[in-house]
Amino acid sequence: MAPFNLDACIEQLLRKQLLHETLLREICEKTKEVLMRESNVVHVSAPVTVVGDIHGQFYDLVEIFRIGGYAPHTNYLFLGDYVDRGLFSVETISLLTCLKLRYPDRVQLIRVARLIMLNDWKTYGFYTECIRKYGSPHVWTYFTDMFDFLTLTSYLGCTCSDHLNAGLSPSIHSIDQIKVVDRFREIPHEGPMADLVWSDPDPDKEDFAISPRGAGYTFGSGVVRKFLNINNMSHILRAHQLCMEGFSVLYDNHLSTVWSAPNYCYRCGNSASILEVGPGGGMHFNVFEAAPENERDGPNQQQTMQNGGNKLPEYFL
Amino acid sequence: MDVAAKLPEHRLSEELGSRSIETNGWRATVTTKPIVSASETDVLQKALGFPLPEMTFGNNSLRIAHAQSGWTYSFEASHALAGVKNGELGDGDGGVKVGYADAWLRSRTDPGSALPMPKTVPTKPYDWTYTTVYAGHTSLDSLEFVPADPSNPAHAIPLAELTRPDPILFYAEIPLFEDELHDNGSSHLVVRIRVMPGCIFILSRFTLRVDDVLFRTFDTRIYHSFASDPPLVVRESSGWEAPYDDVKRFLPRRNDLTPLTDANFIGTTLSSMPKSVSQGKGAGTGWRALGTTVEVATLEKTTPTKGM
Repeated sequence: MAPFNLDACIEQLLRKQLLHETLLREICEKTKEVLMRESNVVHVSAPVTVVGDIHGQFYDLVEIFRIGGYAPHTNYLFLGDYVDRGLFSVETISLLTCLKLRYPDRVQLIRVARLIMLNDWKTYGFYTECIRKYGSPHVWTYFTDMFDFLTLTSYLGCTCSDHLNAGLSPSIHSIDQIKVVDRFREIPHEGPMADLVWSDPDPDKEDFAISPRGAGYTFGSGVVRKFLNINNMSHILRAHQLCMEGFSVLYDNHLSTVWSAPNYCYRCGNSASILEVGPGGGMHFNVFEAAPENERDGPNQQQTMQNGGNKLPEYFL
Repeated sequence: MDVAAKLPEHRLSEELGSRSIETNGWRATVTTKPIVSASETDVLQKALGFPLPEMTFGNNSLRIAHAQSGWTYSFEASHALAGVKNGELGDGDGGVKVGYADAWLRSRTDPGSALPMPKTVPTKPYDWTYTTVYAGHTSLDSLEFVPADPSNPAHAIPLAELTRPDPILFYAEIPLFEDELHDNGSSHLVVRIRVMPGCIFILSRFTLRVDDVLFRTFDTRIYHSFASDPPLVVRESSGWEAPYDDVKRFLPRRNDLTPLTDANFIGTTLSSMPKSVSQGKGAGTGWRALGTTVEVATLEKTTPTKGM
């Protein structure tokens, strides 16, 4: 058993207090051991609540537990994008990691899409935030090492329907192929993993097309239908696409997107949702708005702190 | 500061999602709302013919109106996105691909590739970087901007005046769109306005970062001095571009890449480079908007005689 009190850690984090650096190192190490035993494709049983992008919006994550129930009373499946952009990436990923370690069978964390090359993701907020809050990049290293062990996708088995949580890749036709992808390394641009994580739906087309960016694919309804048929499934669920309503449903209800960061980046004004999948496979998008705490501990206060208490007027040129 | 002692008459008002100021015969109105809804997205997407940026602030706007002449000038996302190239990119459009595009394609087309290309349909061509040279739009087509006279000091943006710490009567920042290009960089368009005791000043700034490829900025500055007679509006537009690594060299701390996400840092760095670089060869994309143009529009003095 772990040489530390995980319940106390979780309570401390729920109060938005950081854990000590050495404690985090141990927690990440232990979590890696748990993750290493998981397959690329995790089988999750309903009922389960599916959560999309969070992006370091800590108060909104706590809001999710308030409306969706706390673990272990509610089973959770998190689809990635835990850090960056929001103000509290460290608190967010610390809490999720502790929950995973405490309730490994009731909390599933899927691969973070936003991790491509070292250089790229240093430019986003997480790295700088770790340095600011801990004075060194160690904590950043613990977490990013652990991210490499996250599972790729999951499918949800229930009596009347199955749901897969991922994008689609042309080189992967069946769930069994995902199982053999080597996930214990950073996401390479070239491999099927990148396609899995980055392919986009294009409702105007039937088939695969190369993305105009010059890498990756877009996929149409025909691709989705074929994949579902081959694998005897009824629905694909994905994240990573912002939408004002907090969720969207495409292709005759065969593909849906869940988005869980309300008022994204503290300026988009969007709703968010979590998807509650019932024991019979029924799907309900539970829609919510930004947590009230963002008003008293959000970007306005951070900016004021940095300017020594005064909000400076902008003499832009 | 004697300017501060004598603030001009002005009236501020605010209602749901909208703020405005009236002063010196002008009215500036700013609207900031949430991103577009699913149904608004469908309408806009159909009109434009390509997928919208992930954050499209389609209901945001800035509008300045001159009461006497009826002249207005606005900034809106739908107009800005209409300036994005839809269709195959050609000479001058400055099209780019992501940094690893070649490696990606090779890994799928090399003989014996483990990941052969599936049957694909043609790609929907459009400028996925959302590059736009939108400079705002006016209500009166009859009133056109004409090239500025370089020898006339009134036909330029007076930096000295704008650097002076005069009181700001009205300030707003209006995002029009933003997209992270699927973590290949970032593309955004933000408009800012400040109304000063003596002038109106607007900066519309498009900023593009394509990781390991390039940085690109397109700025439009609008300046009007309340003292100009007849009323004169100066518009300066500038396009800059440089390879990614050339900008990266200017980082104050080599390991901290945060400034590369800051439009101010990018803008300042690009404009401080020799013109032959950032407004000459750029990043080698052949983008036609490199360089600077200054134009002016003279507004009707008192009685608008022209048909509107």
